[in-house]
Amino acid sequence: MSVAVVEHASSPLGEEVAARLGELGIRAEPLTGWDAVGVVDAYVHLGPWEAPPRPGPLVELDDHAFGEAFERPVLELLWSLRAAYAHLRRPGGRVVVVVPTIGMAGAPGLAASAAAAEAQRLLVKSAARQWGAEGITMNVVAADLAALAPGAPGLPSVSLSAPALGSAAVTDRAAVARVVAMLLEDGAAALTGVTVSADGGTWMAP
Amino acid sequence: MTALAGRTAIVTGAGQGVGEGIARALAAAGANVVVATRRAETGEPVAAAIRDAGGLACFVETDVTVGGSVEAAVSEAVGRFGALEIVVHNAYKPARAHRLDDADDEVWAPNARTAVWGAFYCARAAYPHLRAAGLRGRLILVSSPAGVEGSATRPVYSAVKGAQRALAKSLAKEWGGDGITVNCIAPVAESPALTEAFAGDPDLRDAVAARTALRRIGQPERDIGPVAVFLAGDGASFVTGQTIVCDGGSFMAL
Repeated sequence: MSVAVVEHASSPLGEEVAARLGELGIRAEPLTGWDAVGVVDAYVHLGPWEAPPRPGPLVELDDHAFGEAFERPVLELLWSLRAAYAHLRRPGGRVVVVVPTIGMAGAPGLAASAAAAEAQRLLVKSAARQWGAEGITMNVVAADLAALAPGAPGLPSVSLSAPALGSAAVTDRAAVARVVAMLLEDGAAALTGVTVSADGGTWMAP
Repeated sequence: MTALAGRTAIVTGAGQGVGEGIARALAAAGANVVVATRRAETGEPVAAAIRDAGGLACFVETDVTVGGSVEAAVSEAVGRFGALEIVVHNAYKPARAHRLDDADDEVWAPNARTAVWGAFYCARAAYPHLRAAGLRGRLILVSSPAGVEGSATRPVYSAVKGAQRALAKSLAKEWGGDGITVNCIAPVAESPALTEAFAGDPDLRDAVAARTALRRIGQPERDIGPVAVFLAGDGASFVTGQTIVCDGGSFMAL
């Protein structure tokens, strides 16, 4: 693997991902449009979670706010995956999508964003089932919202237990980036449709 | 059975399939049922059949993709029966099979508008009444096993069904202080969409049935309706944020 296209590369996590990929000898190319892109080894989608969603009761959202919180992130990923599909190396192309764990756990005050995160995760699972025949693998890294969005609202813990690796590990952006990079390494070739939680050992279901 | 006697339920998409089965089961359990569908030709007969069986039901023309239409249905339910304790959002417009790399707005829009926007509109319109119902308040979203494990034939469908599950978990947390529970049912049962799929592939019915532990496909009223009755009743007052998979034992991930 030599080239990975990274969407939302200028986000804090994007910079970490580029650094980790560099250590593996993989050049991270910020996505500026697909027209000039040839065959790529991997596509990494990080967004749009770097902008913290605004918390509030779901029933107080108007249609515009719900659309922005739910529909925009999902459609961004859907259209991006569609565009990336034509460029991914076959066999061996990799896709990694980073989502916040709020989609798996639910989040009071962020219901629409949680729905978006889970819809993104299901798009990846389904595409993994469809594109696997072409040798393309697709996986998800789930991280704490605070690791993706500096300034994100505090949320109740999604677990009865404290984070297994300590509270500092929950928002360890570099650790999230290392998991993204790990999924692009040769050893991950047999993984597809998988969600890896990189949240310091908070969310452990099922 | 009168477990739900005196309570009022709205069931969207109750004109056929799973929604009809749930509406009939809720009515048989004593609930007043509002059959909320887009088309009178499917909704009216279901409401009439419930009344013929001794239940209380009415049809209210409802388009779940339009917020005002859902608000009107909720107002009609409260105006007619005096309160609203239970909302079951089942309406869904089946989308054609598709590949993710071919999915376009024609695929996305009907999926998202009925499943997710519809759930949002139901939640927003019903919340004041569910809150007033306190410990009897219920929101039930009809999701799918595809919303858990993905789908090789309908990626967008799986995405919106997953989104419903996240909405349910989030609302369960938001509304728990009011005593309202929010859950999902993920059925595999006879429905017009499944019938259509079977028509296009004569071997599919047996193949689907063979994948289940119980070797059969669910019947809406007999197999799915009672699960909705349970979630709507007092016995499930401590169950919230969950997805009950009712597929005869096909998917056993949790």
